[in-house]
Amino acid sequence: MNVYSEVVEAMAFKELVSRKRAFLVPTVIFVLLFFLMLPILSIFTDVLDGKVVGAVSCAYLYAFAQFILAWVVTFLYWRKANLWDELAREAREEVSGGEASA
Amino acid sequence: MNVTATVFFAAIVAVTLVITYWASKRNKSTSDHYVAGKGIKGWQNGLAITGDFVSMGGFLGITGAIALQGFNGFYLSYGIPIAFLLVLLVVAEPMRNLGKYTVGM
Repeated sequence: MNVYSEVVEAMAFKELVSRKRAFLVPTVIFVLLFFLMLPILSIFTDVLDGKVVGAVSCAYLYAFAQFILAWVVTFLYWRKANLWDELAREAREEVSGGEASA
Repeated sequence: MNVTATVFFAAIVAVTLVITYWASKRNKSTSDHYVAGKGIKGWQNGLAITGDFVSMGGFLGITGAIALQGFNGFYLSYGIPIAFLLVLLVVAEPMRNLGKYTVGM
């Protein structure tokens, strides 16, 4: 039985994987939908035609919101990843029986 | 034929080649060539990528596209933060804590 089979069975590793998935899957789906809505709304409907300031329409604001979304999601991911580092370290120690491994 | 543009073009190509030659003299291994011997910090790499996007995409590409096409030109740029997020969450995330930092190894 190689090392990977042992790791995959460990409880700490399973918890790490399920926690990662609980954050990553909804986030990726939300990001993709947020991205796809702009071309779909602007081509097939005229919801985004409203004027906000001068020549700036709602479509410009929506497109600019994508950049803000990138910063926000990166920040949230950064906080979560610090938690996952702890879990990963625990999983590694559990598999190697408490000795510090590289 | 625009003399100024040609002279600038030739000068930039020449300077780039000189720098490449000087840098290649210092490479001792494959790792030096592909990943700079792993001696580059994260923020330095980030700055390099930013410079690439801002100079090529931001100043030349997107301003030109918006000038010619109006809002349609903005579509060139708004996919970039989303692409960054997808790479971060789907490609780079599983490689975290592996002890390896690039797919090139």
